[in-house]
Amino acid sequence: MAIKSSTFGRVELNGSDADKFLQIMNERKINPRASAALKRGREILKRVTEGQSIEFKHNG
Amino acid sequence: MVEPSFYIRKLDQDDNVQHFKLGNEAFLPLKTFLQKQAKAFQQSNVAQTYVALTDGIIAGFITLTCSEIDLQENYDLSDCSHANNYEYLPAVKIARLAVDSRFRDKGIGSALVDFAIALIRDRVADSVGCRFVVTDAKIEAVEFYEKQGFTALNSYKADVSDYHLMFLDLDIL
Repeated sequence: MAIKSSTFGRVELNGSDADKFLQIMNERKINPRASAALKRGREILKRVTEGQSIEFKHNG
Repeated sequence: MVEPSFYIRKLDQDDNVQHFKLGNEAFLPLKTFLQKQAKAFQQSNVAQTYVALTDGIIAGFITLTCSEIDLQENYDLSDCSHANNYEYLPAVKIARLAVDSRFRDKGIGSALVDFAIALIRDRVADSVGCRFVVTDAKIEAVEFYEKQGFTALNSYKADVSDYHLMFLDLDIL
């Protein structure tokens, strides 16, 4: 087991998981999904700060 | 008629948490946490819970707490070599995330995670320094978190645990 993680605490990585973590971190490749989440999140954070509501997502 | 929208705010000590439904025994620890522990965690500043409210009902919640990533060995952090001398890198952990079964597929879970990413990046990291968002995702939730931009580590593929560590690097958004 190369990962130890407690629900309310720290994460320990070693072996191949630590290697993958370092590899991804040092590639510094922009993740478009994460960037999109941050963009949406900033709009939500603004609404939360201003006490405004957020629309439900409409499916279909 | 139910409102077609929701609000996000911090859990309040007066919030009614007893009507939260998850509809599956596998999620019982999440319900128990909200009903029996979340307010105490909040009051003691161990973890903060944010709730999504519609018509005054808690439709979902997310709980955040401080964490750290220990790589056990030396780092090789290319963008900040000074940090390689430290044993840990700072992170915030999504400790709990759940949406009431009556309010699924309305974007509440993804909105809570989006909100958390922005909160951590723009308020926490900007104020005190924090490099990562991490979470222990159940296998059913891995795809959800990947859509939010998280990366699963190798053990997910090896399927050696019920939970899979996922992380998001705040420095390359």
